[in-house]
Amino acid sequence: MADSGPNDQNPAPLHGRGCDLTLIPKAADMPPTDLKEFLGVDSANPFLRALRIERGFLKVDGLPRELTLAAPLDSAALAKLREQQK
Amino acid sequence: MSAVDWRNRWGWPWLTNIKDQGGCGSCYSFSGTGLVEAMTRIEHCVWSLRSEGDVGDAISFLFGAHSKCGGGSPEHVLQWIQANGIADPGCWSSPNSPKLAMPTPDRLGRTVRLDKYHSIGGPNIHNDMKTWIELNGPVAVCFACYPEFDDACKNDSIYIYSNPDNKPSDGHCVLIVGYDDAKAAWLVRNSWGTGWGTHGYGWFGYGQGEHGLEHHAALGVIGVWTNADPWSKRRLHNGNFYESGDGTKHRNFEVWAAGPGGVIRHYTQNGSTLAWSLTETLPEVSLPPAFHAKGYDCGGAPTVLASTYFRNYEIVYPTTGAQLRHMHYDQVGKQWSSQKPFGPTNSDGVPGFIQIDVGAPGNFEVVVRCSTGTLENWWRDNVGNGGVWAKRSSFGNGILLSGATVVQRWAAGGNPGVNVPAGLDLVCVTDHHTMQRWWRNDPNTMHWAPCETFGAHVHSPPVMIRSQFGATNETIPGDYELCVAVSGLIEHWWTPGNPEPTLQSLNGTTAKWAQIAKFGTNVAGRHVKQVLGLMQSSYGFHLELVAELDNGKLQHFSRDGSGWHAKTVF
Repeated sequence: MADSGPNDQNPAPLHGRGCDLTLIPKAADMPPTDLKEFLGVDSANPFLRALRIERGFLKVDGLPRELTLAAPLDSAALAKLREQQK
Repeated sequence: MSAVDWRNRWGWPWLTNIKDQGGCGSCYSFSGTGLVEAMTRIEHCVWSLRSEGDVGDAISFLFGAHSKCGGGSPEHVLQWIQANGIADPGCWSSPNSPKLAMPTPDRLGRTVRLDKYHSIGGPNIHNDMKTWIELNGPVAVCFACYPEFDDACKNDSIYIYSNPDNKPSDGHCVLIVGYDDAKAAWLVRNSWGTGWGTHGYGWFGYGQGEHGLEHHAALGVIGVWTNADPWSKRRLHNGNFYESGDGTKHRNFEVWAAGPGGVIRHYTQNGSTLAWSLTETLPEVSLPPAFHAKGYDCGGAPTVLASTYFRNYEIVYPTTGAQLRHMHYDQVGKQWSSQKPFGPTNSDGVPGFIQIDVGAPGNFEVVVRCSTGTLENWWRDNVGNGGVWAKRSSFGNGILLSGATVVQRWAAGGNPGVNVPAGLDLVCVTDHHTMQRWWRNDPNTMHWAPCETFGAHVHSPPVMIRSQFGATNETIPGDYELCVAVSGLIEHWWTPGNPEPTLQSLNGTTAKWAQIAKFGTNVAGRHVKQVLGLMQSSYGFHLELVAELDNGKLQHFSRDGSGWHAKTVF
C-alpha cells in the first residue's frame, strides 16, 4: 500500500523509516544466486571456513595446508589456554 | 531444522551495540553500514564501528534527497562505500542530522574499503538467504513496514503481519542477523535503539508474501570483500609485524627487519598462499653529519605502524648513530621517504611507536631507552607543528631495555571516567631483569608513573598489544597481551584491558599479569633471541608473532585454539 503521509487518522510512526521501496528490486524479478560462486571462496574466519568445507562449497585441495590444520579458537578454547601455566 | 544467531556464535560477539536512527529517515544507511560493519568484524575479527553519517550525507547529496534523513536505498550506500570507503564516527559522526559531512582530514586512512556486494534474489531466496547467513554473515533487507511494527517483537515474540486497521506502510530496512527454523522466523537487527523489540532485536516470521522479508532482493557482502582500515587495527599489532589490507583477500602479513649492513628488509606473507617472500630492501637514506652521502643506518629492531595518512607505513628505528629515524611509505606515490634522525643522541633500545587518538591525523608518540638507563618520550604533533619531532619528557632510571610496548589506554583523548584513567601504557625491562609497566597520565599531567613489576630473568625487549579478547563489544577495552624471550624461549603474559595505573593513585589495586604459555622449544634446533613483533590477525582471533632466532633468521609463530605453533622460518 502506498504511503499517503501522516495525518490525524494515521499519525507519524514512532520510529524513523527511510526506505524508498521503489528503488529495491523484487526478489522474483532477480536471477537466482549461484551460491557456489560466492561461498566457494576461503574466509579468514576458521569457523566459516570449516562450515563451507563441511557443506561442500569450499574444496580443501585449494587451500594452504596450514589453514586446514588450524584449530579454531572459540571462547572455551581461549579460557582453557589462559588456564595453562598460571 | 537449524538456527543461526550472529549476536553470539562460537562464544564470540560479532555485532556492535544497537544503534538508533531517531526520527531520521535513514534506515537505508544504518542497514548498509551495518552490513559492512558486521562483515568486517566476521572476516577480520576486529571491532570496526562505522559512521552512518559519513555515508548518509554523501548519499543524500548524490542521489537527490534533501538530506540523509530523506530516505534512500541500501544499495546506493554500498555503491558509495565501494567507491569511497566508510569512515569511523570519530572521523565524522552526525547520523541523525541533516548536516553535510565535514570529515577529518585523514578520512582516507580510516575507511573500511569494500570490493563489491551482491544482490540476492530469485525464486529460492528464502533458502539462499539462510545458507548465506549461515556460511557468511548477515544480509540487508527492506520491507513494507506498518505502524504495528513499532511495538512488535517484545519479549522475543514473533512479528506476523496483521494490520487490522488497514494502515499505510513505509519502506524500512534492517539487517537479518540470524534465523530459527523452530520459530519459523528471521532474527532482525533494527536501528530503533534498545527499547524496540527485545533489546533492539526482533523475530520476523518467515514468508508473509508481500509483507515479508523475502519479497524484495537482499544485499550481501562476502567477508573477503571487506578491507579493514589501519585505524581499526591500530592496537592489534606492535613491533615489526602488521597485517595490511593488501592482497586479494586483504590479509597479507608484513614484516620489516634489520639486515646486515644497516639495511631494512620488508617481507610479505601472501594472504592466499601463506608463502613468505622478500618484498623489498628499503632505500638508502641521507646520512649525517652533512647528509650528502647516502647509505643505510638501521642499528636495531624497527617498530612499524600503518597510519591514517592514506594507510602509509611508518617506521621508527634506532640508527647506527645512536638516534632514531622515521621513514614512511607513501601509499599514493608508492615510495619511501626518510626524515633526518631525531630523538635522544644516546638512544639505546627498541622504540615504542604508536599513533594516538589525539588530533587528526593522530599524533605520533615514541618512547625509547637512553644509554643512561632512563626513558625518553618524543612526539610528533601531526596537526600543529608541521611534522617536527619534539621531546616531551624524560623519566625513569635503572631501565635496562625498552620495547615495542606502547599502547594507548581506552579513554585517552579526553573523557576519562571514574577508574578509567586515560593515557599511555608501556612495559620495559628493569636492570633487575623484571618487567615493569609505566603509565602516562593523560590528559592531566602527562607525567609517567611507575606501576607493577612482573616476570624474572628477562634479558630481551618485550612486545605488547591490546587484543580483541575481553572486548565483548566495541566500547570495552581488550586485554593486554605481551610476549618476551627469556632464556631462549618465549613467555606469553596477559592482563585484562585498562589495568589500574598505579598502586597509589586509585583504589590500592594494581594490574595482575598472568603467564599463560612458554614456547619456542627446539625450533630448527635454535633458540629464540628476541621477540620482534606481535599481532592479532584476521584468522579467527589468532595471535601471530615474529621472533629473531640465535642464527639471525626470523621465525613466525601462531597461536590458534590449541596453543602456540612454530610456523615458517624466513
